Amino acid sequence: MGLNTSPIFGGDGFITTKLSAIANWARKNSLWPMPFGTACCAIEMMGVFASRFDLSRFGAEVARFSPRQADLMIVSGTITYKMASVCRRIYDQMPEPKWVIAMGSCTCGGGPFDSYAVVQGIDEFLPVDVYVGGCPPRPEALIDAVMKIQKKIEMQGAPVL
Amino acid sequence: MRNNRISSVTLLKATILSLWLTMKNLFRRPVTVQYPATRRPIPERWRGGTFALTTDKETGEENCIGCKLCERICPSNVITVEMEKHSGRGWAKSFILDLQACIQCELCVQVCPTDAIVMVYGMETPVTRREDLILNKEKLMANEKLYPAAWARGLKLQQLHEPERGTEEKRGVVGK
Repeated sequence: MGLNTSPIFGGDGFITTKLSAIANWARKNSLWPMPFGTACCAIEMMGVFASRFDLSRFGAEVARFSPRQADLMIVSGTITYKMASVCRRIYDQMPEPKWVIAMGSCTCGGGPFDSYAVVQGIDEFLPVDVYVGGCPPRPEALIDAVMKIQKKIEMQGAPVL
Repeated sequence: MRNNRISSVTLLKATILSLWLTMKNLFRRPVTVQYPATRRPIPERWRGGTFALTTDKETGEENCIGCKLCERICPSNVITVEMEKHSGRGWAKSFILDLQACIQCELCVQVCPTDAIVMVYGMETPVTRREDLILNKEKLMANEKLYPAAWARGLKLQQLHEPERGTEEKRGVVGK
């Protein structure tokens, strides 16, 4: 590309990097979550979407139950091995780029269910970006997690600590 | 056959009533908590934050004697304590609390005979690495200074469970 590497625009890939920054700004402010609620953490997640905590202040209020239209997967609730394949398939159906929040103790590390039926942490089969501990976590913690995802998108995928 | 049509008076009444409700909500104070700017007050007996290991206020020694009661009662088996004995009492050589699977049931606080482990009012923050949810002894000791301790303490809760002194004689249970 002549224009992209032209020294007038600052040399290597100026336009593409600026374009991706603009795209990331847009992605950051319109995260559409796919609520994968299987247990009681989902109740707290509904509370976050509702008016008291109002996740729409962060542009993430459009809960899409179709994975094709979502880019943030909030896995809230115990994931059993039977559910794991469904969860993975829904994740695979989401278009890139996509992010995952593991909400609650059950998704982070199995919770109290140390049994043969329950997945001990969903990062056994999903790439998790943010872990929210708690049983269930407060709505504020989930808002914090969404803010952390936004920061991660802003920093172009660099790890946020 | 009965006439099922609704009279226009009923319809008008219903319309005015619903519009009145809309009007009331329009001028009500918004319920939204603007979270990062304002925070909800935490209730006094709330449990659900992180944990801390306490130290003695006077001597500065840590309170934990490594008795492993919390390890035994924990329903998710997230606490691991190693005990060592020197200078006349037990000490926790290592104390690992794994918040990955902790369900904040506060049972470890309830059984602690020395008020060593307490919950704190500090909010549990989301992390990007799973290792960060594992609290070792250093992190737990640091939490004591970072956050205010919660209401519940081991000895306080155990006293609540104890029957009042002398009640058994009064009831006539003893010596029957």
